Amino acid sequence: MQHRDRLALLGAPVWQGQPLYQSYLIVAPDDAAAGLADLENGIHAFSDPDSNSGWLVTAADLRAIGRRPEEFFARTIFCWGHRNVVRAVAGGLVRSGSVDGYVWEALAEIEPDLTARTRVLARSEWLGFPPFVVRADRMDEPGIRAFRDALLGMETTEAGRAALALLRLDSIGPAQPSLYNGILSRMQALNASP
Amino acid sequence: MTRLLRNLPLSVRVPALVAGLMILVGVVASQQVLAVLGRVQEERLREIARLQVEGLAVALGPAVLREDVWEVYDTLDRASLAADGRRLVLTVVADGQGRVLAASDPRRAPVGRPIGPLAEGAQALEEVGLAAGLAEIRVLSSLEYQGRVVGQVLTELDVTDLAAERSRLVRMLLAGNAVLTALFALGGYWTVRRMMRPLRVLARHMDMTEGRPTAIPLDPRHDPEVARLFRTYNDMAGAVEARSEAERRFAERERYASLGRLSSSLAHEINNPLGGLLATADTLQAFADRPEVVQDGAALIERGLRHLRDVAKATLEQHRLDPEGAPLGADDLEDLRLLFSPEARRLEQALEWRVEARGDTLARLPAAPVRQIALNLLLNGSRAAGSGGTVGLDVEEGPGELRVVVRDSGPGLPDSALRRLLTSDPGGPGGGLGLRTVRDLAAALGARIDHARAAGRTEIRVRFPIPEVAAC
Repeated sequence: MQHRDRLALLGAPVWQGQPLYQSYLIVAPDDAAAGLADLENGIHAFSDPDSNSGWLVTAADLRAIGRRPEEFFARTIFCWGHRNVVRAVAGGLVRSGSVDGYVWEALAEIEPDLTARTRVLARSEWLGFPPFVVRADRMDEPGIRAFRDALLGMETTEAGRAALALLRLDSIGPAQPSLYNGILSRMQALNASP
Repeated sequence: MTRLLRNLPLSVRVPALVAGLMILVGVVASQQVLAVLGRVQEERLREIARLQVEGLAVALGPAVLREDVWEVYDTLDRASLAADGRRLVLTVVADGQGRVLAASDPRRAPVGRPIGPLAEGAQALEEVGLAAGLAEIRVLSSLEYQGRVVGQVLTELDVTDLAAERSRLVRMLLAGNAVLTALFALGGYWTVRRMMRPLRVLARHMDMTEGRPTAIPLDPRHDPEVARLFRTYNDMAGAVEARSEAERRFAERERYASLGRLSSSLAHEINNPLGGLLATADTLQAFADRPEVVQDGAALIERGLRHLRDVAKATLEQHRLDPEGAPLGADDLEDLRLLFSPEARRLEQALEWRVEARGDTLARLPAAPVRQIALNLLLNGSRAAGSGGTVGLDVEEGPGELRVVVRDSGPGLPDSALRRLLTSDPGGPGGGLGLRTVRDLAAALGARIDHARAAGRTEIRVRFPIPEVAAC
């Protein structure tokens, strides 16, 4: 979203029938917290400072109550990967973590022992699934067009279906910039002056 | 304990000592093995801890420097997954201020906590040791990166397998030592029994001796020392036999010597009546026609001849010394008096003779040895008392015993004579065997000999135990 003026959408993954996903706030299964506010002074794991689900959503939620992650939490760490956030929470390194809901659900199938050691405390609203993008000025290049066609027709080929099954996705569908209005509004909310 | 051990037979004591020594050796050897094992295990632990710390220093140095919690945790987590997961129980990495950056088990060592309480009881890397009974040990080490200390590493190592290995070894050592000790004890017992067989043979022969030692047959298979021992024993047995034989001969000779000494007195005793008898015979021949003279003469001759017959009978009885012979009677004592009186008369000695013992008491003792003992003591006393002295004999009953007491007014027995009479010490040269014969005969009858010297008199008291007669 930071570079939306220079990028063009090729398509968005369709997961569970729609190109949307959520950000999960996760804690240990035995944690008594009932919401984000109860996690104050704990250690929190973010996935990546550029991640929507792994940083922006929680930071924006805190912003909404007039707080900032660095002072709300005792300490924040970046784990550089959604699975790592789940590992950090499951292993007890941190009290809570912000993680991509799609990744958490996929892990629940692939590594149920790992996700079983976490509990989803809160789910965000549905947001646009991270899309495939290209530089806008190269959109009409034949290679790019072929790539877009391949993406959008993945479910029509054997190899494409296998790849989608591996990714736990239904298909790659066409996407419009309006799909990401939710994320945009959170970015704006975060950047707005207090 | 020492007394108990001393009372045990040698064939048990020596194997017991061997077993004790084996146990001692086993304990010392086990201690040595365990000490070496302990050193090896500690060395192994130090190596593991050192490798762990050095590896972490390389892998975590930059992350610790940046205080990158995730990077440290990720590395520790991957390392614990890669390891077999048994030895390394917990690894905690702290920053330069001693706060926990991350741990392999963050729940035990939460991020940001001071490492101090966790490091309580931790050992330095260079001094890692295995304390008895501990399942886990902690090692604290500094974390160096590019030549400077950037943090600390606390490692908790599971040593239950080492403790188990140690206890397994202890059990094996105990079992092995017990088996070996038992084997060596049995071996020792068997060997010592074999080694002591010659001694048992010797002891058996000595037990069987009963006064006449028998030679041990020599076997060429015998050990040279054992053969020498047996030969020495056989030589000794031969010497004892020869000595016994010599003593028997001497005793016999002594008996004849006694009789020899008596013979002059007896000759005198016979000679006196003979003179009277011959004079009576002359009288009878001269006055054969006078019946009253003939009657008196015949009576005189008869009394003389009876006296001569008694003397001859007493002499014969004394000569026929037979330990298994007839029981003692009052007549034996009377014979003794008959035999001894002429000697006393010859030396003009006063003879005090007192017999106060019942016939059935006397009859429980054999006649010959008692007579010999009394005669030898009387002759000895008579010789000591000298001319005009006093010699006495008392025979009396006591509770369970018969006492024969011989007294004389002589100057007392010299030491050499007392030794011959009262002890088994070899007698001095030329001492004669009269008193030694008294001692030997008394010992054979179980009698005790006492000696006393009082009021110028020597008193030898021989106390014969009276054998019990079974009630009918």
